[in-house]
Amino acid sequence: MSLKDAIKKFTDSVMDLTNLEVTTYTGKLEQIVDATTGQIKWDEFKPSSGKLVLAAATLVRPNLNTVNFRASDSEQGDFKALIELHMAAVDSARNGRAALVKIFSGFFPTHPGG
Amino acid sequence: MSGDEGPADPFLAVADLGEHLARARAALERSLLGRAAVAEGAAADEGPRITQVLEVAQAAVTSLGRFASGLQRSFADGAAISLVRDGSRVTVTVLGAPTPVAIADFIAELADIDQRLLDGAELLGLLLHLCTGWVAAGFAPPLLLKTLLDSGPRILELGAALSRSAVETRS
Repeated sequence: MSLKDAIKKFTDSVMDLTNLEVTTYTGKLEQIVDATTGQIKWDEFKPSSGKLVLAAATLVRPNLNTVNFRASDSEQGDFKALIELHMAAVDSARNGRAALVKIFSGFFPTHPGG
Repeated sequence: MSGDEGPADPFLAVADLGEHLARARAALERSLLGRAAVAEGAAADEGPRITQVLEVAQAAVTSLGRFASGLQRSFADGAAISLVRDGSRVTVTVLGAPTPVAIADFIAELADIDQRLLDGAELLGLLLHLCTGWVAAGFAPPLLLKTLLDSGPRILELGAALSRSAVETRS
């Protein structure tokens, strides 16, 4: 994906300042590694592949009400570190939205006294 | 800039910032090398300053692109982490069992990328305004020169925050 495409895809999120959704999945390495080349098939990092397990999910509504889900445990690795990673991704999503609002703030009309 | 000079869709325009900056640089390079710059009264020593301003502007666009591109890392033990941004959705996928240290490193890198974007956000907003005017004027060198010289000090000032975070990231 080009830089321009990546930016466009990201800025699409500001079109509708609705929910922020962060999901964290786990999976086994052999599910994504090309058996022939040994290379990771990054494009197959997709939840829709049916090979990944949901470890945590967070929904942040426009009013900042937040819904969190976390699995009871994970078969893989350090679950505490995994949850920290998920929460870091939530922070990052919020940072991205904050940055976009700052970037576009000059384009939003301001109201006297408002 | 008056309100009616804003783009119809600034959300799409931001994706074009990199291309606009490249086009502005090309137009100015042609102009500064030719008679047009002299005719418009551009001083000979303005070239390096404009180049510096454009480089700072490009660094801000790069910080946005780096953030928007997400983050993928694989580790020596074969584990891998991918973070993909798709509009208002962020998907993290963890393959294998990365060590807590590997996860902590990934989190730290993510935080650095976030900080660079936040540090560059105001500058990106300013560039969006400038590019809007450039597009409307067909990238006319006189306008490019004037706006870059007028806004140059502010661009460099805002870019200093980006430079600081880059140094802090490397140290």
